[in-house]
Amino acid sequence: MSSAARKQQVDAPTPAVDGEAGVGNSAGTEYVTRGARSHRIARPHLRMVSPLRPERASRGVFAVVITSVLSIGMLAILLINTSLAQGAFTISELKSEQTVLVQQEEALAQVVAAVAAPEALEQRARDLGMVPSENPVFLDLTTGKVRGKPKPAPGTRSTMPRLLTPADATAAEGVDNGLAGLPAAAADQDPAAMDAAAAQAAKNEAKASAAKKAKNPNAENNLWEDATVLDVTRDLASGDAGLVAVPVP
Amino acid sequence: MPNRGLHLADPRKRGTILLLVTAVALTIFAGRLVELQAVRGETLAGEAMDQRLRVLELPAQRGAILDGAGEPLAVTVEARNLTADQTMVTDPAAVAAQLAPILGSDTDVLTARLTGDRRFIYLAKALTPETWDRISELRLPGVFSEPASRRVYPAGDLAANVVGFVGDEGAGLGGMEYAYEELLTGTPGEMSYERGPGGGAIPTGAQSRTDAQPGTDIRLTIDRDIQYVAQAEIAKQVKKARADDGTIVVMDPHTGDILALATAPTFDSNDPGATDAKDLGNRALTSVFEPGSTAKLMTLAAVVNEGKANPYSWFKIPPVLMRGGEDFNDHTPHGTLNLTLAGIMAKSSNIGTILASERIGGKKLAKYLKKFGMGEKTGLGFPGEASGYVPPYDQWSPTSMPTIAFGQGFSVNAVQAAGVFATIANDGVRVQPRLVDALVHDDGTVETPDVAKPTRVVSPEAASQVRAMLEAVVGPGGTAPNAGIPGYRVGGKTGTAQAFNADCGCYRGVVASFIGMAPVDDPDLVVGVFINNPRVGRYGGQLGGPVFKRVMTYALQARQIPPTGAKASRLPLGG
Repeated sequence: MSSAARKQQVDAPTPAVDGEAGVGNSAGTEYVTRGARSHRIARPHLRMVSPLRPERASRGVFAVVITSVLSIGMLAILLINTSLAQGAFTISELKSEQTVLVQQEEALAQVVAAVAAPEALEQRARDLGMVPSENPVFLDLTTGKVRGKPKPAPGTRSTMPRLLTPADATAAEGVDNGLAGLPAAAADQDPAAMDAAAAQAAKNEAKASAAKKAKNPNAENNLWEDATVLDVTRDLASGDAGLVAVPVP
Repeated sequence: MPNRGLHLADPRKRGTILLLVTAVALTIFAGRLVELQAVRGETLAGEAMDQRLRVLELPAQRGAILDGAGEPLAVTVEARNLTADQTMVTDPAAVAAQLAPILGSDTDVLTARLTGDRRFIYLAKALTPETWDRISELRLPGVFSEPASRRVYPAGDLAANVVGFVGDEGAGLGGMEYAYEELLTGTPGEMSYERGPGGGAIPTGAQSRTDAQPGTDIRLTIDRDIQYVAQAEIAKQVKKARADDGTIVVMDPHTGDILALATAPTFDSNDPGATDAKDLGNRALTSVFEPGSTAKLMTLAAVVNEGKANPYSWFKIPPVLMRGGEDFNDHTPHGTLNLTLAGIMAKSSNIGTILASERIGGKKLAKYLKKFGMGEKTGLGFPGEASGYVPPYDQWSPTSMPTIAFGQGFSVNAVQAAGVFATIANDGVRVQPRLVDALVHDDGTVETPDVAKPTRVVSPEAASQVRAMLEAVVGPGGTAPNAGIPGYRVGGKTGTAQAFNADCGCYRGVVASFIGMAPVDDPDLVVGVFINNPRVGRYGGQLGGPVFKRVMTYALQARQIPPTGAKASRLPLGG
């Protein structure tokens, strides 16, 4: 549209003042006096608009609500992320603690296994003065019978720690392991004599078995001699009841 | 004055051009965005994920090997491998000087390994965590570690021949470690996570984890204490007799459980490299030999079972016997003798055994040998196990029957030989020997391996009579009086078998053996001792008897087997 017409539109609400263009509003018609032509223009009916305050107020609340939702959300995200990171941190701390404890446990288990190995146990038993039993003897607890042929085990008594009786304890309180300051033996018990007796018994046995060996340097060679001796001391009541003597021609 | 040209002064024109330029720029951006998000979106996301994603293999813990009581014979423990980044090592000599005393290795070797420009090289493997702690305290630049594992055998050489050993990579190379490799190894797991720039895991990133499946524990039937005593005793005797090697087998005849399987010389599983390769096996199962007189038990048991003789039956024994064109003698010369069957057993008369075997014939004898398990695998499934060899009956020559009757001319391994006695001890029922008691899975389930059904070889009455004859061997007039245990009834059989020497292709040297059981009227234990090629001493009774006595004494105590309290039978041996 032409700039003149636009100007006319712009100037439409100005009140008519003689010879001059002016600004103002008034009801009714007015005469536009700009330029050569002046004619009636129907002015739009103006009315009061309600004040902006309520709009402004609802916009403000809306903004606050949105802002608060946003900030709460972001705060929540921040907190969650922090706690996740914290959790990961705790996990790695606990893991390294666990590694250390597992290592300690394994080291201790290895020590226990080494000490419990049969070789180590035998060595410690021998250090205490123990010897392996040469023939097993059992005590039947229900009947009180001894099963087997008991005999003293070989070995010197001097390396064995002596068991303390309660009487010894009152006399030798504070002595460590009972190895120092041993009280004297009871009158009817003579350790030296018992040692000597045991040593003599062992010597006798060794002599007897040596003599036997001298007689039979190679047991196999003299086997056939025994064949002429009929061993008639068979005891049929010994539990071989199933055997039946059937001479075969 | 009207402008020609672009009229840029005109704000409207400026605005238009600005708008156009912005529109073009935004279009390019939009296009790029579409390209990146929509077209290449997945590919790029995938590449980014690949960059971040780290996949770790979670190694599976190797199963342990336990003895009958659950004590560990082989366990895997944590270890560390020492690595170095050569580019970060500024002074190799100084670093090597600090490491050498801790590692116990040569400074020069370490210096050489630290020099260069490799980013990753191993300095030492399978260090204990304590050693690594000491090294890490030094804060040496360029020296790192990676987690690893180490196989440890807490009891050293105890049952090493059965347990076996592992190689550098942790895989089993012999014995049970090799035989049960798959079960022991388990299944490795996998863990994946997104890795941030610092190396740590991104907590909200993609994660997945498949736990590793630890290996199964193998529980053997071996009793640690009996094994220890057996190993010590056979090692002592092999040394004393200056023999090539020796074996001891201790079995429970009712269940077939092998309580001890000891060989000498043996090795330490922690250091298999220190021993000759030929000693790294288990001779008890891999070595075969002709059993000799201990196999007379089969012949005489067969004769008694068939009802052709009993312990009181009389036989006239000439000084020499000709069969199949060959002369057969006894181990020491004698005149013509009258012996009972018990006497033949007690005195180990070859001629007497041949005469007795002729009452059942070769075919039946071959059948009994098979029933006793000769020539067949024991069922233990041990790597390298030999099954022995018995010539089939239709290939027997005229001398086969007498030879096989007294235990030469066929081969067995130590467990088979002891198994014959276990059958007689078990009232004539043969059970399959067992080395593996149970497989303990990680979730706690215990699996017992299947065994073959027991088979009856001889009747209980025959077994009882044969046991009484075995008792005569240990009594006065027998070949093994030094195998007796005071208070107990003991029975067994000696053997002094000719050993076949592959080098000369002839018989040279002997295998001296003694296999026995106690208490003989109701046996709960069988112990077999085998000494190969002794140079000092020769006879089974002489070399094997004392070892049997000591091992059996200990085993009776360990298994809490009291004497039966019955009196010894005194069978007539001759007249």
